[in-house]
Amino acid sequence: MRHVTDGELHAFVDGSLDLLPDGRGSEVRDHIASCSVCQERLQDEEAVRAQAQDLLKGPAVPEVDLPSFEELRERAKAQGRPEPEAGPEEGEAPRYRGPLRGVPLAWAATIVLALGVGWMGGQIGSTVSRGNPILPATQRYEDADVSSLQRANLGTEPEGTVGNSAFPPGVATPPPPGEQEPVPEGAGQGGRVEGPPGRVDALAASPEGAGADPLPEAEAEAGVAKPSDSPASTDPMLSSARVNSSILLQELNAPSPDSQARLYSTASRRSQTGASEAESQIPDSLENSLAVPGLKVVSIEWEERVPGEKALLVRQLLSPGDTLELRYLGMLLSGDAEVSPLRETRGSLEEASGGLTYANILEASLPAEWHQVVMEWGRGLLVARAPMTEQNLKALLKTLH
Amino acid sequence: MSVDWGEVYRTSFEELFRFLHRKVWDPERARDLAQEVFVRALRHEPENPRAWLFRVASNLARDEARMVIRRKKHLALLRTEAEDQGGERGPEERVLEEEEWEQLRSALNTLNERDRELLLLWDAGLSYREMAEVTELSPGAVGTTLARARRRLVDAHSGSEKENAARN
Repeated sequence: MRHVTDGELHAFVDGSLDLLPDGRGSEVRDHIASCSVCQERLQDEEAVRAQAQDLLKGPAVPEVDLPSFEELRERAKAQGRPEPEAGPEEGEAPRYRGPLRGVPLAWAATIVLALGVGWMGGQIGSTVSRGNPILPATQRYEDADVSSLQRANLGTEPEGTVGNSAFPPGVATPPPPGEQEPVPEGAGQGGRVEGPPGRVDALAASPEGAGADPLPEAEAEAGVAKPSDSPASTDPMLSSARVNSSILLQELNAPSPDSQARLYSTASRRSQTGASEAESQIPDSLENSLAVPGLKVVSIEWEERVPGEKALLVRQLLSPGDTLELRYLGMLLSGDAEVSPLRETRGSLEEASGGLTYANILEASLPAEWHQVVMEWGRGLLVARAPMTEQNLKALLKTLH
Repeated sequence: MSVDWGEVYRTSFEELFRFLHRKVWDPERARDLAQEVFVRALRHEPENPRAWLFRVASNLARDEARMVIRRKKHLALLRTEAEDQGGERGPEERVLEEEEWEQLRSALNTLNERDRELLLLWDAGLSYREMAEVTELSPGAVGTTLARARRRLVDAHSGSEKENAARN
């Protein structure tokens, strides 16, 4: 006689026989009723279940005043949280209405890539410190060392660059050729780069899973950056990084909406002349615009610590065992060139409390010796975290496109 | 279908609060987190509201617990709480309650995070399907994992009781 399996027995004990295939539930019930061996197993399981239940009930939870539902609703209104909107259901991918509609998406998660006025630019909004880091001499990320750190990490192979890519090949291509211009020769020497107005190119995003484990130690397995095989002076990544730094510093010194559009247009054009020889799974335009130049990108993925608050998490390798985490909040846009509904409802940054709350949650889980910097990033936020001083982290962020 | 959050609140808020209390072991913080979860809930329409609530709660509690550990105030809070719980119960009764809490907490701490999570979700009354959604286990794996977690909890508690008895 075939006895019920442990799984079937547990389902019976917990009243979840409906999970078993059709008809199997009643078979399990009938068998247990007629089998002494299974009845003994059942009694043992039920005894453990009852003991565990008693333990967990335990002493009463200390009394505190619990809010009424009306109080919660008032609090939600006070925080400016809108009523649930019509839109994609939880877990569904947002509808994509952009020019890449119809492109087959092999993966569940894709990236939103926005080109638009007002998206770029940054201003140090707030910072969070966590004491004085004790860094080995080789890991002193001084301002002057930022560029040398980047040079040390250049030249890594595109293959295997991303440990946990959310990007299928061929997705999120740069803007059509008609809107691109070659990078002027003077760009690397500090000249301003003019460009066409930005166009919104967006893909649907639907991360799977939520609540990514924030433990930084998990990224240590990214490994050591390979030394460059080609002279640094001819390395296109380094050239690209120099162009990025030069342009960004100029724009940060004199920010304006036009300059922000130019910044992003430059970044996307640079992807056309970038160093990506292999078919990288990460679009060059994305890496160039969201990652600190010169540092190996370990992963780019969606993170959702709280449903409804999605962050694009870019992890980059600083040195073996140390990573830089860049989280972009409030970036989701529709595929159309017009301002998306998300932007319209967000309003001012002060009202975008979701992103700030996300940043607060990140701050709460900041590991020892790490620092966090929160920046306004267009209409969203950039939350950067790394095992370095706040000053050095800010210096590193200046090299972002 | 629109979620009737009022109904969800009536049927789930206390369980959510208990669940969070067994995560952060601070009743006021648990209440605040439960409030935060529901305030966020009011702008979402998840397919499975209860699973959604507990998933969010689990995430918030995980970050909260790390913060508390880093600030090293958890034990101090427990002591303060015991002192503040005034004259309704005698000191012996309070000590006994504290001991029971400590035993439960110690037994739970012997489990891995997944087992602990499943037990607390089960204690909160979630179904296998809901637990599967929160923990990202398959519904089929929930039963066996849960059964193992229960046994480990009971064994851990029995073990600590024997130790206490031997000491006394």
